Amino acid sequence: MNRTRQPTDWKGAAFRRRTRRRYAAERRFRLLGLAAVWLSAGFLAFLLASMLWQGASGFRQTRVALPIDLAAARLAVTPAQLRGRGADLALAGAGLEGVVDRAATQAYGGAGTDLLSDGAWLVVRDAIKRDPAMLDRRVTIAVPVDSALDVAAKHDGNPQAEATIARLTAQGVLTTGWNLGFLTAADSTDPTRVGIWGAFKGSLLTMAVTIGLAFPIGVLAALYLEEYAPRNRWTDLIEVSINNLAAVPSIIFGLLGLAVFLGTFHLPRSAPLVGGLTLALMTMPVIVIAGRNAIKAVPPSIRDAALAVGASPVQVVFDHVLPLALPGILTGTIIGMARALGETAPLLMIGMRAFIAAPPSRLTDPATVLPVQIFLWSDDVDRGFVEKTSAAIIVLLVFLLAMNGLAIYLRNRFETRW
Amino acid sequence: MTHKISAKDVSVFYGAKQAIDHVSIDVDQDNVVAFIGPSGCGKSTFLRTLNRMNDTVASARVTGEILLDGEDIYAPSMDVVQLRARVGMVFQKPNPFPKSIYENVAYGPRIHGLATARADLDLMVEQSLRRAGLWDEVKDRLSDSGTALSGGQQQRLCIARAIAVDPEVILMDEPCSALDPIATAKIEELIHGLKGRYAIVIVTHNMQQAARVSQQTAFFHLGQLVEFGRTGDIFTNPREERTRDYITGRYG
Amino acid sequence: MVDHTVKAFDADIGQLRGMISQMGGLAEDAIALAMQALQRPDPALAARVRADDKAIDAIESEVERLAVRIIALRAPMAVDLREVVAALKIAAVVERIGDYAKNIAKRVPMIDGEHRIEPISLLPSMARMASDMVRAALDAFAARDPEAAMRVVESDAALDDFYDSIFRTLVTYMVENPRTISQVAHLLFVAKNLERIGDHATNVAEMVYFAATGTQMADRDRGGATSEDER
Repeated sequence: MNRTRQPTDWKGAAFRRRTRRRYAAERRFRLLGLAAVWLSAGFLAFLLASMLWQGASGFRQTRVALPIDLAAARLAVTPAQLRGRGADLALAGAGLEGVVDRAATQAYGGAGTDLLSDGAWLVVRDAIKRDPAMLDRRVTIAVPVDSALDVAAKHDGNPQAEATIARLTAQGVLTTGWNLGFLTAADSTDPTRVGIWGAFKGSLLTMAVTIGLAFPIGVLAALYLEEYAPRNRWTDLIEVSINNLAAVPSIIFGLLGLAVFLGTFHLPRSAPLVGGLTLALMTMPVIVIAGRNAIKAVPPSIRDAALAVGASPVQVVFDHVLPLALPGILTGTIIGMARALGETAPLLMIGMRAFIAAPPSRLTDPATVLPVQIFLWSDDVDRGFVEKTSAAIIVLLVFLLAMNGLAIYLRNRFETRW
Repeated sequence: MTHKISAKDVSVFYGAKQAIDHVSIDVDQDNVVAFIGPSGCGKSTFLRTLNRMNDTVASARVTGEILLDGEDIYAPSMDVVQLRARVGMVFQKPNPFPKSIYENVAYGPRIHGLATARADLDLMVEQSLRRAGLWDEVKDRLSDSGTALSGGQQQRLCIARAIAVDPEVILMDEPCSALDPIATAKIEELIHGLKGRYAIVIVTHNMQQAARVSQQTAFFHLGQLVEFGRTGDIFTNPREERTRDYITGRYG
Repeated sequence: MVDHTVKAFDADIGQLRGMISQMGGLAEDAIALAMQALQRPDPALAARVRADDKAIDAIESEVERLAVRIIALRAPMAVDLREVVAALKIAAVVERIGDYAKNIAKRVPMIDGEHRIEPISLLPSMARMASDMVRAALDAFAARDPEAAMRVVESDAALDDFYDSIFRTLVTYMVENPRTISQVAHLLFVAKNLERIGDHATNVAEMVYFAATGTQMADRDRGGATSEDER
């Protein structure tokens, strides 16, 4: 029986059809991929655009010109006091706030004090500290307006406020300026005085604790599991456990923090220390997993080469394996840190939700973090907090970008060096 | 005269599977010994027992005795790290560290404390690279990455790295398999030059290479040492039929 | 012995050995025909023998060429290498045996004379003995048999003795029949050629032994005192 194959007719109709279909499939796949990329980019752009649109106004404040006759006020402070550290106290004690109120009434009538923000006198105080000679003159200082008016100036207020704004604009006494206080002040009940610095510092401290604990422990655990641990049932169990830990909902870590750190160890509530500990527990599995994969990817030939030249196991790990695995480990760290930075639920559980008026100075001071602050502000009834919430989101995004940027820079530096 | 390496009745097991079956062989100083044999005959496995690289495999078990200058290298009192500095190894695929050429060669002396001052280290690096026949080609670019060199140069860099710790024995596991004929010839010439200072054991599946570089040849087959003798005798008049069949190309 | 995994290698070696056998056959024929031409005497036959020697030379060049190719392309080792080297040397030796036969044929015209020389009748048996040694050596080569090779070497002694006695007979005849001196002198050379053919046959046997065993044959006694003086 003749079993020889017929020569394949590559140019025949059937094959041409197959080829066309194959090309079409390839094209389709490419287009799908491109569409997916555009869609993702679109979502991202939409998010950023809407945030910027809503939050940009939070960085600007409306001010009204306030004429004050400081010479006539005759504040009982000396230039020497103004130069020293007790200046704030001295000026407060000298009744500067009252002077400002009276100046407001004088300039704008009986409801004049309602025009000004509660923090207006602080602006005057800072101006005097900068230029003590002012005390002998009469000056006009642009001070922040009340929150309702500020909102109205940004076209979101009630009709009464809008009318006042219209009137003041006609008088030509309104200006807008950068609300730098937003970045330097702490939380407040008054939207015009509120700042993100408290939450920012809280986030910084919490992140510091988180990285400080999760990174070394995670990396060392990954190194041990990959390089030293024997391959038996126990290590398999550990691997499965760590993988599952990474998928546990974050609020459970919050419960753990509440029960153990606050309940058993009686650590101070609401402190970055506790927040950092909780988040470290959450982040560590991510770093261990990323670390193990990165270490597994280091080719065995490098280890062999190091061993053959007489390196001890520790030297093999720290001189050769770790530097090569570092880019992968840092990538895992970035992912873990980004997740930790944005976590709200576990921190709420351990109490970082209170109103904190002063930025924390120590790890054990009560604090709050950016996402929690955003949550709290978004809950507030005052209209003035709407834009501040979006502004805070922008600050959070910038913080995130900066952190990621730093990690990517570090990763690239280690990658090219070797 | 004591042999540099003396293996007596060595068997190697991977779990239940026996890879090496009661092999006894002596390697002398100033000598190149070639291990030849078909794939899977155990020549690489046996080579790795000589510097305890088999320790990295969890299921490996070695019985018998291997003496380096009279000391049993598998005794608990033997420091593996120092052993591997005295018995260096070059691998089949060149594996320079992803560091600079200088660092590649200086790493060994540094971790063993053989040189601490920069000047001493420089001298060692230069000497090793010269002995490996690589100095002239790289002396102006010592800070370039070791992985940027060509295959043959990388292998010579690995040899320089092994030499830098001043070993007594150099083990080579098919060092030229991945190289072209010119690079291979350069390395064979290098081996010839190194012969006087170090005992060299080279595993190769290229019989002509074994014939060219070695003074003694050992033929392995199915984990056993079938024949061991002077290279000239093995290749012109082997005693064992299995050896003769292998080297004349009568694989059956 | 098992075949080579690469079959073409076996084919090459087989071709080499075939050519050696062919040469050997031609050389044996040359010896026999040369003696025949001498006996009768037959100048035409003698001329044919001399012409046919070219065939042997041609095969020898072929053997050289093929041996060098095998060494370059196959990188023979151990027994294969020894065989190829032996074949190369044996070809050269057989070519010289052929030359000796040609030399005998060359002397036929000189001997063709009115007087019949009796001692001529001694030579054919010596020639047969030498020819047998050549065949035995080549058979040993074909069979790769070191024992057969040793027997060839041992039989050289008998040939040398035969040569000595013929030498004495011829010298005596020359003394008694001075007019035949120039012709008998040629017969002396013929006898010498036959003795040299025997020595070459032992050379072939020695190479066969080396190819088969890888060691040299023990030093042999190379014939009687008379032969020594002749050198």
